[in-house]
Amino acid sequence: MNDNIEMVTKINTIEQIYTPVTLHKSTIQGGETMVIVAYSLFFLLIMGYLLLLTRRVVQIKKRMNRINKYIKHGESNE
Amino acid sequence: MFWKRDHHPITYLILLNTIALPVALYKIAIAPKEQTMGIIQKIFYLHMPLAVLSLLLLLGGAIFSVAYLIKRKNIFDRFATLSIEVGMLWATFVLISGSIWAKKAWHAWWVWEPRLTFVLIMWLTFGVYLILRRSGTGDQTKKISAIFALLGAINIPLIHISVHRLKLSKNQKGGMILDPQMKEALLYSFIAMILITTLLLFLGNQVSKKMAHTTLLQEKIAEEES
Repeated sequence: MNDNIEMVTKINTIEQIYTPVTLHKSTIQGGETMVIVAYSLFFLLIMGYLLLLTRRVVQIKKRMNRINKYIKHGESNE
Repeated sequence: MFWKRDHHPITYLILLNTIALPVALYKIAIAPKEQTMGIIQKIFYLHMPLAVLSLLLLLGGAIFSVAYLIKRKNIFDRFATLSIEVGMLWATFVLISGSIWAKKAWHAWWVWEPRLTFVLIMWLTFGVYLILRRSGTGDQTKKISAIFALLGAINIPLIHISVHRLKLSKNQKGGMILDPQMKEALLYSFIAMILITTLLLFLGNQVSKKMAHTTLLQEKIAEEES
């Protein structure tokens, strides 16, 4: 009988200690700005890579113009 | 209508991305806050999928580099460069977002623990690869770059071992119980990140193919002129 009473008391004590922490409280507060910064960075990196690809496309067009000019020049010489 | 005229996979990928990304962002927004991390845990939905994808892409780049060293075919070098470029893009995000997370969770922007150190070494080595690869188009440059890709890839198993075997990392796997809504957000995020990566790889491949073609033509013209 005495043992049973002791068990109940111990369980009650554990619940009193842990319930509020595990169910309701966040230990880290705030951080909204950091989340926004991280998500913005993700989109910025994608935009950066797309810009890099666009720069390369412009470079390809310039090269093709030069190559076409060379071919036309060769044809007119013939 | 454009979908009848143009059946290029890039068109479908753009369409899929315009659906998948907003859906993933919505799922992330409505997912509940984690009990101990709070809102900062939302970085995890991008950080984790992109970390996995960056490691796979960098490993893929190293495999293509080995194929180039053995076969000496330019297509392997092109695929290696493309894979490493996109892999580095995601690795950069993983490093910075991880640092933002660490500031809130560990109260420090950077901690010199095994996993983070190996990731940084890997990032620096692949960074050298990209600088080298952009410095020229000759066979020697391609060969040295491929060796750097291999050196960078050595870090990938070390990162894995540092987390799963050594038990030294603060960033250890396991023990995290996710709410069904959180799991759903992570799944949608994974799908969206895979789709974006595929789109970037397709776009990058188109551009690099044309770049290689014009380089070849320019070299031929230079030879004829000389």
